[in-house]
Amino acid sequence: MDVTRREFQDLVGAYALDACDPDEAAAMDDYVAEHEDAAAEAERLRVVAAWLGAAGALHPPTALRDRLLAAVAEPVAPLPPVDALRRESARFEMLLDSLDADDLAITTENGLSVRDLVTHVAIIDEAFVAAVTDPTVFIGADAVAELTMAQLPQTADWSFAQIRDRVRAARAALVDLDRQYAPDARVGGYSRATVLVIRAFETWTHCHDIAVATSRPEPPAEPPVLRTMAELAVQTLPLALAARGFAYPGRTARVVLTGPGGGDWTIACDGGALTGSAPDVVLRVPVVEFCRRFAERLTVDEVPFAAEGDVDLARALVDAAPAFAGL
Amino acid sequence: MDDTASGAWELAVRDRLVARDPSALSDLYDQFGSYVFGLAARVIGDRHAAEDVTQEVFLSMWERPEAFEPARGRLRTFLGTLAHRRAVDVVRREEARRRRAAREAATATPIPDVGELAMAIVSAEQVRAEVNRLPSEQRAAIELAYFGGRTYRQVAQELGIPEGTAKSRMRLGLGRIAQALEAQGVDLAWT
Repeated sequence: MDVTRREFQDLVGAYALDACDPDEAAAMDDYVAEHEDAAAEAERLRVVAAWLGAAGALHPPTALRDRLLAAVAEPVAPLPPVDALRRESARFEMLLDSLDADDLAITTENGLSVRDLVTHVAIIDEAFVAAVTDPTVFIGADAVAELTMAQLPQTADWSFAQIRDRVRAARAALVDLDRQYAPDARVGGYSRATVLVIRAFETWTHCHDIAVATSRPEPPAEPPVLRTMAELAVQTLPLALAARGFAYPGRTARVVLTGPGGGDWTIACDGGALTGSAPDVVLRVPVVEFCRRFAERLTVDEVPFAAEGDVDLARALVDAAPAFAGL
Repeated sequence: MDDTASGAWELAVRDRLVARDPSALSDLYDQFGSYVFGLAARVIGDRHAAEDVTQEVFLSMWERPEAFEPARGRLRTFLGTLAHRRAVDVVRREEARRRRAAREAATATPIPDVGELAMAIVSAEQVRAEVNRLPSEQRAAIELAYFGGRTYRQVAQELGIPEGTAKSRMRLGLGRIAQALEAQGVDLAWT
């Protein structure tokens, strides 16, 4: 069917409201595609129609967003720890390359200057490498702070180039642990595999600290690295709850971290075995925000989480997440 | 009245979708998800079907972002049209099914009841105000078509008016709102 100008005029209102018969609508589509002025007129009325629909905006269920994003996300698998560490190191180096001398004195999130924060990364890498020969050493959050404060004064007159050389050397030694030791070898109180992820995580956090403090663009984080870090963070949650004194015996939580690099885990909140029953709560958090909370760069109230089920348990999980965060 | 982001934002999101960046889809969804879902829910009157339509709309943007031509209109209109067409399809399929069933039961098809939906009203108050200012017969024709998913032929039948009258009420009503908005400085033209 063909449409004349007169028929277009006659039908344009119904057309903008999608109220034509299918053959008429198809003919109008053709007419509009060929006549620019007609297209403009139809668009003008369609804008009005589109705004009619805006008066009833409704928040869709959170699950819909997850479903949609899951449908388009390439499934991302976690990386071998050493690869996550290598990629984060490269990202960190890229950011450091972009800094000016003026940036180095700026104070970052944890109170250290950019310069001292970079040194701190090297100091802790070295501590882990040294710990590999002594199974009694435990490098927790307190030790991280103590080691840093004890050693920073020694670098007071170092050039930034010297500090960066030290960072690269320490990082190379850390990466080398992968070759030298089994994944379950104890290093500083953790398995060697876990240490490499912890260091990747810390590098990711400080990369962000520096980018924020200096207003430099942060090289985008890679989803497989996020996935690797998220895995560690979620597995740590039962311990984190215990460390904060929260007791949820027999309770389970499904943790859905959304966005590229996210994932879906069900955990026993008391660290025991999973019973296979339905989780007491489904906690949904964007993966980046969850990792930032784990590193204590966000407060509980800054974390955009959604919970279905036991909301108190969900809040406790978000609250406890940074139980082991250091500097 | 425009609570959506700028034309530059729309262009950038489209480019990111073309580049297969999933975060562009989440940005798009965060901006327009409640609009599309609310529109579909209102037309269909069923949350589950509205969720399906919403997912289809955003997946179609993901699969064919090129279909949105920024030079030919705004993103809200584009998504609204996609959502409305699909919602109307759902309603008409459902009605066809019910009509077959109704041959025996001989019951009338009710307009979808939206009263049960908890509505979070956003923006668009200006448009709402202009709709309320329309002569009631124009308003009835527009709402029956847009929210009821009726064709102009069905509108004519339900209101007991000639088809030509139904068509002209829709055209005149929409035109009147467009004019009133333009008089308030709202740009409805292509940008």
